[in-house]
Amino acid sequence: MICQKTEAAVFFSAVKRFDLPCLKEEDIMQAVTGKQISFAYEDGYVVNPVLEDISFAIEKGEFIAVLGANGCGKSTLVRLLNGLLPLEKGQLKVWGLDPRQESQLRELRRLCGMVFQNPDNQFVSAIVEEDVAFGLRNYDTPEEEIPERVRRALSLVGMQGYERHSPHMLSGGQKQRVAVAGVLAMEPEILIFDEATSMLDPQGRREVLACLKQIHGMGKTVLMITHYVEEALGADRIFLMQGGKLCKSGSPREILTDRDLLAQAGLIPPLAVRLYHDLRDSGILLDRCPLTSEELVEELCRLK
Amino acid sequence: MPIEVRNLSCRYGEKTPLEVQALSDISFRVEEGEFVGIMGHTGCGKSTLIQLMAGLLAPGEGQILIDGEDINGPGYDRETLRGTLGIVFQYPESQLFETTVEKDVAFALKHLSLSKAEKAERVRWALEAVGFRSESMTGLPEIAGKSPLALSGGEKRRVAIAGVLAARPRILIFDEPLAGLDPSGRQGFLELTARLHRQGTTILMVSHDGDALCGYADRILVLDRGRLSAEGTPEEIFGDLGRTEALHIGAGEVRRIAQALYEKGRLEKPGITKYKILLEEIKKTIKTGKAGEGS
Amino acid sequence: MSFLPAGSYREGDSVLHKMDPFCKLLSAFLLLAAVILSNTFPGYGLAAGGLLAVILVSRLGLGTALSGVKRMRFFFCLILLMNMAFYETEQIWWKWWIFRFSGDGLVQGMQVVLRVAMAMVLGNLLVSATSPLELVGAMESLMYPLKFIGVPIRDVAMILGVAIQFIPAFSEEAEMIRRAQTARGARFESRRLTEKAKSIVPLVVPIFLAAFRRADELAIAMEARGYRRTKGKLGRRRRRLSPADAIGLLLCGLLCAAEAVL
Repeated sequence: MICQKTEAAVFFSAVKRFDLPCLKEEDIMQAVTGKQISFAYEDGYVVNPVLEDISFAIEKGEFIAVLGANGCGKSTLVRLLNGLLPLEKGQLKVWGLDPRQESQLRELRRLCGMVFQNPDNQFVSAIVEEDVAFGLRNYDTPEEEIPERVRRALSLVGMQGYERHSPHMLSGGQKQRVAVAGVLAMEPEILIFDEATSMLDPQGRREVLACLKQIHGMGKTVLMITHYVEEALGADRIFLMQGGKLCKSGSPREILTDRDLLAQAGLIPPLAVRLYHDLRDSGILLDRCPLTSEELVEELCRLK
Repeated sequence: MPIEVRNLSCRYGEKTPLEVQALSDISFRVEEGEFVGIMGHTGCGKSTLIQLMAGLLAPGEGQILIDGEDINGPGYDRETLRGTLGIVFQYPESQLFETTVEKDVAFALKHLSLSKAEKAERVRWALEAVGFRSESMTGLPEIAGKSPLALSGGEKRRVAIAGVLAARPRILIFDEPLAGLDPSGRQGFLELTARLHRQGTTILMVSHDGDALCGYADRILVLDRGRLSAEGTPEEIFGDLGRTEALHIGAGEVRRIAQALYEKGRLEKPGITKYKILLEEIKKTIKTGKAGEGS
Repeated sequence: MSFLPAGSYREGDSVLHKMDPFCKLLSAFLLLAAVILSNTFPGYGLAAGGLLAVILVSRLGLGTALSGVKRMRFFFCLILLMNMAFYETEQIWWKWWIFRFSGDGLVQGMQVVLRVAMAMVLGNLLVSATSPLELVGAMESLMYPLKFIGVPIRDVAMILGVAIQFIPAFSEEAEMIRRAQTARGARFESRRLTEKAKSIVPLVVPIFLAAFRRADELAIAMEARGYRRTKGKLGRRRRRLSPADAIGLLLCGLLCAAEAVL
């Protein structure tokens, strides 16, 4: 792990910053800012609002969990960030760039990489290293640089030695890690995990989460879209979404210990929080509401 | 006895360099009305096992008896099996194909000799079972007339399950039914299976979710690299967490909290796996004042 | 999955396997031309001999090489019958309604069957000894001149590559859908033609939907990784020709020339 981290540091310090002339690193205060974003799908004559009046700001290096039940609009929101859906109403700046400007969109997509839900549906090549190189080739990276960058990206996600494998032969967690490497090779600043764990088994989920934590540890801004409350525990902040609205943003403790708020959003709190509330309902009050199972055990042990 | 599996073995890609022994020498029984969970690491042979039980694959060796009859025996009528046993695959929403929900759910009834009215009643029952309520007493739920493609992910999943339930199978097999469901979808599904179980349906459920299986299953089968490595009640399987790890399966969060509290002397009872029992035991320990003695 | 040509590639380290994919494809085309050009008995002998030599060199075995031909036997019988019944000639064995059976027709039919069978064996050998990815790369190289008349080579190569990449996951999903519908009572095994035709619907619709869904998701994933149509450059691999490549190509060329003369 330590060895990998130093390699990561070397890797990313060596990167030449490709900035648009008008844009300097220090000008960019926040990783992402959104103001009054609305979005609607048109289905025949019916307009279905998917997002309504969403405003937020994400700091550089933050780890944000976008939490919500299926159909709350969380995936739509992050697709707007990457310009995969056209922004109609509101303002959005991603690393200082505007997804509505065609000229800035390409650089924006390089800076803001995405990993998607279905591990099988994001591979373009039948060989791992070719797939990781796909993004690099799209950005006209000199051919002689590609092997080294692919190698580094793969070793960052712990997939070194799989260069010549076929993605189809890998496990779900390994596939997603290769997908992450494909994004990392492009040296992004922001990584979006769009329900990247929801089709994986527990082992694969652990692998991807560990990979995500490591990337966050490298100073990258990370957005994770999920409906597993347990996965949101480690985030710096949680954006809780419901019915196309950003109903609350706050620390995991603020959001996840609020049973009623979560119930409103169609979610169920972590087990420790559920136990706390059920104990309180039957007259047993703990000093504070625990967030994790470890905290719960600690609280119960303190009880005289 | 609805299901008996005897010395079942299965190989893939026979006589090629890629030959894989998917299952080797598996034997077990499932009693009428039981809820059996099947756990195991990915690639342990769970999917192969349930597909063999549904008669969708041919076994290499061994027998599968359903209601005492060998489903691969000569002269066994597969149509009987289709009416007795229903299987819900992983991501069943991908099977939907008809123009309306009603037609899709009725697909399973096509070859059954039922009157039109009976078929309509079955469709209504199945849709209600998965949680689509109808306005009137006899009418179909509103969703019945919609195209399956126009539904949300969660609704599609429920319609697909209704499409299997409509044939009223006495035995139901689910392959990773919780995959991709959000918390309320998960809760809804678990309540559905509990209800079917109470009505006497025999249920087999493949899942990685230790909490779900501990909460609902009577018995758990553990597969490891094609072998049946353990079999028992949730308490027996998860009683010793060291052993659970050796079986390559993960215990649920409830079990882990219970273990931590037990080790710290905060719980009297070892090996708790169910949420309700955990809650009761914590209350009991606190109320009897035993909580303070340990420290 | 029986209706997809997945998994026809057999790994190996024969001369045929190791041959440069581009040269291999070119040689295959030359041999194909030779097979089509052959129209005399010495010509057939030569073409068949050439194919036999390739089979021996490939070390794939006669079974693999002929596997496709066996499956097409019904089709071959049909070709034979059609030729026998409709060939325009003076010497007719037996005449009935519009059918005119003749010895010349039989000979003609056998020639057609022989040529089609040889072409199939050739195709079979090519895909069995070349990985799909190499094949796509070779096709891309072969199409390269088309670039100058405005054909988007990179997109075509991309589509081919992605399609091949998708085959394993997709055929798995298709097989799962088939099993799931079987479990719901669909009768794919039915021998009655009407029922068989009807039973296709529950299979084809979900498979198409699955394909569209996958294609859609992949398109989004590709866009997110900065893919643009027809811009950017091809991932070219440098070609190193071995003596075996040159000899193979030369022999196939000679065979083709010989057939043209015969």
